[in-house]
Amino acid sequence: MTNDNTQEYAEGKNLARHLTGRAKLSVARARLQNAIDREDALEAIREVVADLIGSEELAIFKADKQKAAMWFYWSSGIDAEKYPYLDAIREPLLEEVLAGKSLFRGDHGRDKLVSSPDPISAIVPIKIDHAVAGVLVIFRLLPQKDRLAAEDRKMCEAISAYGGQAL
Amino acid sequence: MAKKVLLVDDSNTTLMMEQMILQQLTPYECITARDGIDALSRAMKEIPDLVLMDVVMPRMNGFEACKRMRLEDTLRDTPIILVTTRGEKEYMEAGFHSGCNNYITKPINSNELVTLLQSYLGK
Repeated sequence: MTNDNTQEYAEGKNLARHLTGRAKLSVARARLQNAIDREDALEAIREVVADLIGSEELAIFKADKQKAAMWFYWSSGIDAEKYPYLDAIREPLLEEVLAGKSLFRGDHGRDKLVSSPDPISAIVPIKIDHAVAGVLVIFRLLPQKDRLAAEDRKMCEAISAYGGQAL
Repeated sequence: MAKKVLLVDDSNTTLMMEQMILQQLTPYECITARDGIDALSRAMKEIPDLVLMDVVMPRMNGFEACKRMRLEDTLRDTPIILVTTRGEKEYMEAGFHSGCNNYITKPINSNELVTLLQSYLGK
């Protein structure tokens, strides 16, 4: 491969990577915003997490700010009985989620986000009218996916902003 | 005449993603189907140049649809690429046993997908 070809190949690869990230975000937003009802909105979240982010294990909890607890609402790919609720009092990091901030495993050296039988990769607030009404928990990633990249975090933010219809 | 790719998936999100990648990065024409039965009927009618098909689908999964396509004279040699979430060896062996030519894992990477399709269809 000549230097010109190498450069062209690298540019092509960069363009494709850029397009992948942009296309994924654009598709995620469109799918979430065009959900026709609650059931379709849940399916949209499942599809975005499974097909674009790369995890088949997820759950949604409804937030209860007064009691500082989040009650199990819906799940896919995990044993729902293991997670009746998440307790924000015993898990201080969850207060950050209730305040609207997404948590990702590995950030600030955190290897564990909350105590849980299964590894948790991310906890994402789901907002309705800018207020946190629930949280999405993304558990184990697919074997071919070693971490959540910047584009995955953007899709989590899209779920946070546009996933409220699911609740 | 543009090469025709049949995209098969029960996920709206995956279909949208695949269509967007192919429209932006290739000259191929896309047609879609939502499950194995739908795929079989569209493939027999449209005779695509390549089939990109999910494995886990309602009514008829990708393995079965692949096997049935291989029984049709018009589809016997059509390249079939299966899209899976699982990359394990046993899963892949089942795919090749059903008659697929190759596979790609989700989440789909546009560079990987385009390179793979171009290896069968050319640029």
